[in-house]
Amino acid sequence: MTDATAEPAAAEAAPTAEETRTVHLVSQEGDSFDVSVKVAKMSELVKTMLDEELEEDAEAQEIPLPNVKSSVLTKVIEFCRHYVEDPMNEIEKPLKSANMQEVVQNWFATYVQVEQEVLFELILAANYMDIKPLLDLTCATVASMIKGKTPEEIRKTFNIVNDFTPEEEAQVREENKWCEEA
Amino acid sequence: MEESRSAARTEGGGDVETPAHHSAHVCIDYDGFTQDTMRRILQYLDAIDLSGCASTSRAFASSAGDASLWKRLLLRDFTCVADADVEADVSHVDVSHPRASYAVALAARRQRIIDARLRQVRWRKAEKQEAHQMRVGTCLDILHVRLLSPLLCLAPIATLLMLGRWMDGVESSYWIMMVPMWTLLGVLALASATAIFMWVKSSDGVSLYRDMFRGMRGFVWFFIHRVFEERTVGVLSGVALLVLVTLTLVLIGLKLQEVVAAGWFAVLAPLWAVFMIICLSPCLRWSTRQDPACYTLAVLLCWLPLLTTALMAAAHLDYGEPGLPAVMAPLWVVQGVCVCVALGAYASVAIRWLVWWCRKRRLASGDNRPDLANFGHLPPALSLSVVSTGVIAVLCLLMPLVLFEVSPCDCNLLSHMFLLVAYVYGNSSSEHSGLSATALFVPLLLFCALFAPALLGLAVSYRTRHRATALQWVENPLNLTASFANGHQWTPNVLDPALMAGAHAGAQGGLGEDSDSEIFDQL
Repeated sequence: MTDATAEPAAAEAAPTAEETRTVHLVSQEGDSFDVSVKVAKMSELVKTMLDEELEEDAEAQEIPLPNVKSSVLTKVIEFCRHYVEDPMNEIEKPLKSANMQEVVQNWFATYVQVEQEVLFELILAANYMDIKPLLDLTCATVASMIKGKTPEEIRKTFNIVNDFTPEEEAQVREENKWCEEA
Repeated sequence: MEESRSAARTEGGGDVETPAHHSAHVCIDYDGFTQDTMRRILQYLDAIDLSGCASTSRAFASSAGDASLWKRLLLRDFTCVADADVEADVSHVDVSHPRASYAVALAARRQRIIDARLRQVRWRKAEKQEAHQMRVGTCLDILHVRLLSPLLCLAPIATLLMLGRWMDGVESSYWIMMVPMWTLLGVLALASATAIFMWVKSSDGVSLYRDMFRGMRGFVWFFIHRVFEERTVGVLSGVALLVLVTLTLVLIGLKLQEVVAAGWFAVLAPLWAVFMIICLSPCLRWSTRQDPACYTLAVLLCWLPLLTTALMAAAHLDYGEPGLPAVMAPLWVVQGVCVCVALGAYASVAIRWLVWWCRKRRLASGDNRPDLANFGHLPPALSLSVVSTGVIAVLCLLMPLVLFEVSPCDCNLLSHMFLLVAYVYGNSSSEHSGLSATALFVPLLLFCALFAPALLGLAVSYRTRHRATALQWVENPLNLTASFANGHQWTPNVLDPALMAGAHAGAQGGLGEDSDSEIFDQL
């Protein structure tokens, strides 16, 4: 499954070498994704694997990403392409709102409205490929799902099993009493 | 708080398309996340959410307990460090228990906020209370000084004038004739009631009116404070005296208007009670400064002669016996004694002055021989002071009588004194006195008029002395400690000692080397 959509070219400025030169990102399933070097370089992993010595007209380099599924890689490339065009605002810490639309631009907020499983895979992929903006966005999204929730609601949201013993739970509750009073 | 936060989150998410991850219940393998990834997620949470996370599961508790997260929160929330610096390595922050330290810092901040709000509330309340105090103080000034003082001289003058008109037949109603006295008694009753209220409230440690009784001035305050010594039995005696005197005047009116057919002994029953109260209650003893000599003098020179005269007057009015000279005899005895004592006082003062002058001359001339005439101890100072004050009173009492005596009439002084009684009783004494009733009262009117300038001057020149006590407690918090220690100082009602105690305890907390649990126990 190859992403055939062309990169939106700059209308007025002449395309740079990074924009014209492409690389092939190969997923776990062996699918190859043709992306510009500029987009690919958002990943520190890809950046280190890229051979800068190559000629401009040389064949596109293949970058294997055996830990990333094709579906996830598609989402990652989508993010990177958009980010290159419209960089994401810095996310405030701690989050001011649990609504991601109030934290980042609409496109990015909509981008992370995915299944929890996909979201976590995106985190893993971003971590593996070392794409800091994507990692920040996905981590913040998970944090937004925690924000303002009680422990029971958090367990329900993430399907977490309460593995505390009654004694441990009582101790934890006692230690967090100051927080309830705040 | 948690619920509201959840609700806010739900409302906030209303505009967004339903996120797919909200309905997902897929078992996620969190082990796939490295500690660093978990830290990345949790660093977007504040302290409250982080604590909530820690209560979720062991794994989350472990991640949420990460020291770097809490150090970062400490730096961000309780220092002026810029966000960029906070994001830098926080390992250099030397705090043993960052989570517990955060809790301590948060508690301290919360306490500061509570203190600030308390202070603000106290200040606003104190301002209102002070304004209220000033309003009450102004009203009290008007009642006790500016109104009562002039009335004390003007009411008797007006009453005497109207009494004269009544006796001359111009005024027909006893009740209208006594309107000035009713007014005076009414104002006196109101002033007494307010003074008693302030007196009672002043002993209440948290009263708004604390210290205001001390600020009050005027005659009612004088009697409650000096004569009745601010004692319940004394104040009650004063109230009883006021009521009984009023009742006496009312009953006399009813008798004169022939509404009551009872004899004068019965009509004057409240007056007998007045005499009994004066004698039996400690008022007379207090007013004579607990001095047995003064007390005996007061009883012998005032109480006993007046009672005897009143009893004989009632007998005279009821049975025609004894005669008027006999009725007035006790008063004449008192007057005679007073004159003698006054003269004796003057003589003693003169002798003392003479001795002092002689000694001064002798010392000036270098003569150190002993006194040729040793007078020994002159009359005790107490007797002197009593007599000296008595002189003034006696002279005031004698003045109208002297004026009566020099008045151009053919009757003696006693008949003038009893003119009023005889007139009312139906004995037309005016026929042989040659005086109208109004003219008869001229000396007494002059006597009352003597006090008028002083009392009117007091009413006009009086300056408010009420002290504002509310704001000083807010301005000087040290007074709070004093107030709790003394237990009777005034303090604003908004203060909660338990809260203050909690505030002091919270302020003593610090960041020590105790374990987390011990620190949380302290919290």
